[in-house]
Amino acid sequence: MSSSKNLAYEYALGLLTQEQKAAIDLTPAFLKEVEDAHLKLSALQLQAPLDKDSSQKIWNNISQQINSEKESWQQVLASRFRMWLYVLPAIFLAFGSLMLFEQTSQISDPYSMAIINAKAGWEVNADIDNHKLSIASVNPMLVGKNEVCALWVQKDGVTHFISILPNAGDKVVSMSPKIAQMLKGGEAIISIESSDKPMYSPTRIEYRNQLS
Amino acid sequence: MDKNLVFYFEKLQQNKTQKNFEQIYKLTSVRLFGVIIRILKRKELSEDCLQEVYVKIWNRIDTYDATRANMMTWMSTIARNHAIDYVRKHELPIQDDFELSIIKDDQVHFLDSLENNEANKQLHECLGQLKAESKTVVFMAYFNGLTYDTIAKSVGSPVSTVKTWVSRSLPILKKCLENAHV
Repeated sequence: MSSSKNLAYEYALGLLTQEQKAAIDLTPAFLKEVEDAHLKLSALQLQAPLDKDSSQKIWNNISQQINSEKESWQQVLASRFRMWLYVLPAIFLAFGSLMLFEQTSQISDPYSMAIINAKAGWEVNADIDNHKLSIASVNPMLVGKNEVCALWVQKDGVTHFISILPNAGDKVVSMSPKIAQMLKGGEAIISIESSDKPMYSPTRIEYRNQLS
Repeated sequence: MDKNLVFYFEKLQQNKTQKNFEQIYKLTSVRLFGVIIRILKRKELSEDCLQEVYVKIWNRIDTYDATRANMMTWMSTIARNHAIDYVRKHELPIQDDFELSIIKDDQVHFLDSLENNEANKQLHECLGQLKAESKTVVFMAYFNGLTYDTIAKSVGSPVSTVKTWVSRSLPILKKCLENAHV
């Protein structure tokens, strides 16, 4: 066995210091021998020094970790389920209310006729008997790019949002008998609102008039 | 590949239970530990890394494709790559890129040919011919990355004595390894 091959094994085993390695002439032939030694030595990996106690300890840790990951997934699923338990009824309630409003708004009931004389730019006719509001834009409204006109009715200190109004042209708003009843004696308000924000109450009031 | 390993792996794929996975662990942990410690060089870090590797294998078991690689190759590749990531993540000292590439693909494939109890048993018996001190030196160098100088200090013997042990043991070691590779 040549000393060169011994050196290749010593090199591959890692017995040499950096300085000793640096002193070796790394010819392609030598590097090939080192690579071959690495390959042969890899069989030693089957004899790796993992004792039984360490192995058992490692397995216990793996087992615990797998369990905890499984539990954490279950917790995530449970928390999502709980979230939907609250969110779904809320969605159904909101949707139900909307449907109820749509349905009731189509019910016919006789009410008296009222005319709102809108001032600047608007003419609002309230046909309470037929629970309809007819809004005509006399002059095109001047609103900003992200602004809209909104119709509200205020009664007994409470303001109700009725509808978004067109910038130009006419719009007829159908109301439920209850809403029509509520309108009676209330105050119509037209305001300019930002179209990209929720509308909770009139912001920039352009028009107010008592409904008769 | 070990028939027991194939049996338990198929069982694990059909029924992903910890009990089946534990059998896989028992059959493969020494070998994967060998792959890891060869890269990390430190026992405690290698144990920590081995734990991470098996958790990774557990999580990926459903993605294993038997048509692309045999199971041992697949697991060894995960272990090798994770160990290299571990070195970089923990900024462990490495000598050069050559050190990180020591567990090459051909070594991983090559180990598959040894992965049966008979070959392992033969290797174990063959290495038994080495004197205890020589075997210790070889293992300290290979698995712990210790040089002649540090081994000499560790065992309390002169460097020249350690070199003599190695030079006497290398012919036996080579013979054992070559036989194991046949």
